This record gives sequence, structure tokens and C-alpha cells, in this order.
Amino acid sequence: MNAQVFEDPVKTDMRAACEIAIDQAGLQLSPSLVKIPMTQESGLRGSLIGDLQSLDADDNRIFYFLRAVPIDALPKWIANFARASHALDAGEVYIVVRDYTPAFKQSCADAGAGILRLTDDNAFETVLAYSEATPVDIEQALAARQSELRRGMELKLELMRGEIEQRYQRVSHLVAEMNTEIADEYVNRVEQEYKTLDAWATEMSAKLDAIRADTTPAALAVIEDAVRTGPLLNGGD
Amino acid sequence: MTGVEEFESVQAAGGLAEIDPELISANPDNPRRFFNEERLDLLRTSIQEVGVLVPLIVYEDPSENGRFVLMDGERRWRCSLDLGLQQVPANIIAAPNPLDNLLRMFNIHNVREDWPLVSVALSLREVMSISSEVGEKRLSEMTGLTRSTVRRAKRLLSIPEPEIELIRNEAHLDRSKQVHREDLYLEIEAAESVLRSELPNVAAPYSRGQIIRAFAEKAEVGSLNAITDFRFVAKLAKAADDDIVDRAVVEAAAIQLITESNLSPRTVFDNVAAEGYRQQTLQRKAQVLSVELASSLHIGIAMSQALRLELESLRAAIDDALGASE
Repeated sequence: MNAQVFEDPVKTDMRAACEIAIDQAGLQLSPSLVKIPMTQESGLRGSLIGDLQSLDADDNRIFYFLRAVPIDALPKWIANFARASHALDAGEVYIVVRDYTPAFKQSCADAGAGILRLTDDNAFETVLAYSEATPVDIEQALAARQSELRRGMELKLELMRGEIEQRYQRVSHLVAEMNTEIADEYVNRVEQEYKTLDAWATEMSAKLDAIRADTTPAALAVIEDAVRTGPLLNGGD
Repeated sequence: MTGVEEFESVQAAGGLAEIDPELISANPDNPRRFFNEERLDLLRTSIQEVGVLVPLIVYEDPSENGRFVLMDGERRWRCSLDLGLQQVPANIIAAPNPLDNLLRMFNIHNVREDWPLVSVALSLREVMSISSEVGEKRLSEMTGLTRSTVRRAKRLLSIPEPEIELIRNEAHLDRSKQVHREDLYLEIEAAESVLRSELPNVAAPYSRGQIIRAFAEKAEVGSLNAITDFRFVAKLAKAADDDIVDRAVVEAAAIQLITESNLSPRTVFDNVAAEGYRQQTLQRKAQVLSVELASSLHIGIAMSQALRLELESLRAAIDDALGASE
């Protein structure tokens, strides 16, 4: 069993195109995905695995992470893997995209990840070579602040999500005596709150992903303020 | 005892264990859903940096020794696979009976995900089949779905299976890319019902499935302006009921609507009944004006110059219209 079973079809299409591109590049698609465990020093859980892997004639491995939807900053979990890969010497990490922004390219360069653009005729065009992408160390204090903000955001999210879910679990009792329209309105409002919370969390996560070595204290303060304020829900009592 | 309370009591009886996420299978009763990558990035980063804090809930797979079936925690499970985790914490509970399993899927996931209506409908069909419960209120209580969602889901289930399959096949696409949309079929279902009840002579030679297929083809060939075009079917039928248009004319137009896929309900309405409705509106306005004028004259209010001019202008327009129609 793997996550592909539930994969977004857009990504599945991209996966198929990448397999052709790997072949066109003269590489061999790795039939099984090798897991490279993170070291204890990295402080990370899990293993470098990627969406696809390939081998060249000398058994050099490439890990491909596919991103079907354009974004401005490399998600932190992939950035963490890319950074760690340079010390692990297990292979090269490439992000495969159909399109990219200058901000995304910079974000990958800072994390030490290469970028391959997948062309319409299913070939790879190297945008940024892995060998040219050296991870930029974020100052320790900034990195700690970034993690602190992320954990704070996750905690707020959990608390708010828990509160909505508790209310939702009681919903059938709460609406039992209401007429249909009011009951539906109440349930829809709870569901809407959940979606608003989810959208807020996704947005905050992307903002935290975009923190770089040269992020100014003022820009950081804006994110901090947004995390502290939280999402604007519809009341919900 | 509610579904959630039962679920918690079963959970309490289980044990906590560390399990290889690759030994876990998705729940067969959990409708197939697709998450976009961005929505999972947050959780992936959290798990990578902190770990899985809330255990998954699984039960032993009755059909395969050593494997487990996921009850709760699909996102955490998927992220664990992407992150190549060797083990994840999981609460192992007793395997639920089929109805329990379905109801728990509803109760666990309902608030969290935007299930496509077709997925809700298919799961609801299972619930109705196993529990023999068909009442809207009771189904709403059992599943936590709103009563209007239960109603809409049941209407969707009333369309032929091949059409449901067409909706399912496109459920993962962006709404803008879907042709066989759930709301399209809800409109078609309503239009077919109206046709059958209001114009029985037209509908009789066709099965329900044939009419639904004929109407769906209109969306497939792109002859609709909007899915709400099907509401003109009801207005067309009403035109016959209200004697706005001769019933035979309406019936001939309705047959054309079924047999010609490039003909939209709106076009048929515009060609056959729109003028009748316009004249009906004019008739009502004339009636109101006539009553108002009679009432004003009756109480003896002096007529203003402006009103007199307007009425003279109206008289000229009426004379023209009546003269032209003679």
C-alpha cells in the first residue's frame, strides 16, 4: 500500500510524464523506492524517499519530488530533506515542476535542492543543478524562531480544530429540536468554520515556508502577528 | 448511545502499538478522496519535525493476517508514507461490524472533509441497505449529515447507475472541468420528474433513464447556457397547465427537447412559451391598472395633468395594439 492510491490525478499524470522524462534522460527508473533514514543529529523523523527515484549507470541515485501546482516557497519538509541530503551523500534531490517563480527557484537554491522543469514533450530541462545548490544556513536564532512560530501555529490549530470537532460531535443532539432549515444552517456554519481554519493553516504554513536567511524582523513580525491573531471564524458558540 | 460514544468505548478496549504504515490499508468504506499537496505540507512538516502525536486508529484486517485497516487518521497515515516513517503510533480496536464501520466513517470524517455528494450518496446507500432505515430524519441523526444533504443524496441515488458512474469518474476534477456534475444531475432529476408528472403523454414512451440520458447529452454536447436551464422545463409544462400555450404545442416542443440533444430547454421555452408568459404579465398589469383607475374614479380624486397625459399616451398605445391585432 502506498499513498499513490489516493493521489491527486494531476500528480498522477505528472508522475507518468516524469517516468518518460527519466527514460529520455538515459536514466533508469528505480523499481522500488529506497528509504534513506534521517540521522539522529538532523532532528528529523522519517526517511528521504521522494515520489520517484532513478539510477544512472554508476548507480547514482536521484530523488524526485513532484510539485504539480506552482508555489513560491519549497515546503519545509522537502527543504529539510534537501538540506539533509547533502550530509547523507545518498543521492541528489530534485524538485520537478511544470512552471516556477523566481522566488521558488531561490527557495530551492537556499535549501540545496535542484529544480527540473518538465516540458510539454515530457523531457527534463535543468533549471537549477543540485550540485550548484548549496544549502544556506539560516541563523540559529531565526531558525529557532521559525520553529517556535510553526509549533505555535500548530498548537492553535489543534485547539481550534478540537473545539470545532467537539461541537460537531454533539451536533445531532444540538439540532434535534430545531427545524430543518435552522439545523442545516447550524451544521453548515460549523463545517464552514472548519474549512476557514484549514485554509488559514495552509496559508500560514506557506508563509512560514517562505522564511529565509534574509527575512527581515519586520516581515517575521507580520507572520507572528497573523499566527497570534488566528483565523476569523464566524463566531461559533 | 451515539455512534461516537460507541466508537470511543471500542477504542478504550484496544491497545496502543507502533505499526509500519505500509502495513495499513485504507478503509474500504471511506469514500475515495484526493487531497491537494499544499494542504498536506503543513502536516508533513509537523510530523517530520515533531512526529505523529495523535495515534491513528486501526483494526486488524480480517482478510489478511498481519495487516490493518485504517479507521481514523488518513492524513497522518498518508503523510507518514510520504515521509518514509518506519513506524507510527496506532490504537488497535476490534473490527467493527459493517454498519458501525460506515457510521464511524461518517461521524469521524464528516466535518473534516468536503466529500463529493456522490461519495456521500453511495455511502448512504450502504447505510440504508444494511440498516433498512430510509427516513430522512433518522438517517441525518445516524450519519451527522444535514437533512438537506440526505435529501439531495437520495435524489442523486435515484438516477440510473451508469449516470452515477459518470459523476464518480469526474468527482476528483475541478468543478470547472466536470461535465457530469452532481448539481447538473439534480437539475435533470427534477426536470424529469416534472416532465413525467405534468406532461405524462410526452414522458410515457420513454423510461426515466432514457430521459435523464437525453438531458445529460445536452451538457455533453455543450448546448446548455447553464445547468439551471432545466428549470425552464417546469415553466414550459406550467404554460400548458395555465393555458398560456396550447397543450399540444407544449407537448410537441417537449418531445423535441428529448430527441434533439443540441436543443436547450431555454431555447425551447423561448420559442414556445416566452411570448405567452410576456402576454400573461401584460394582462395582469392591465388588470391591475384597470382596477386602480376604476377605484380612483370611484372615490372622485381629481386627475393630475401628468396622469392625464400618461393615460392619453396609453390609450394611443392600446388603440395601436388592438388595431394591429384585428
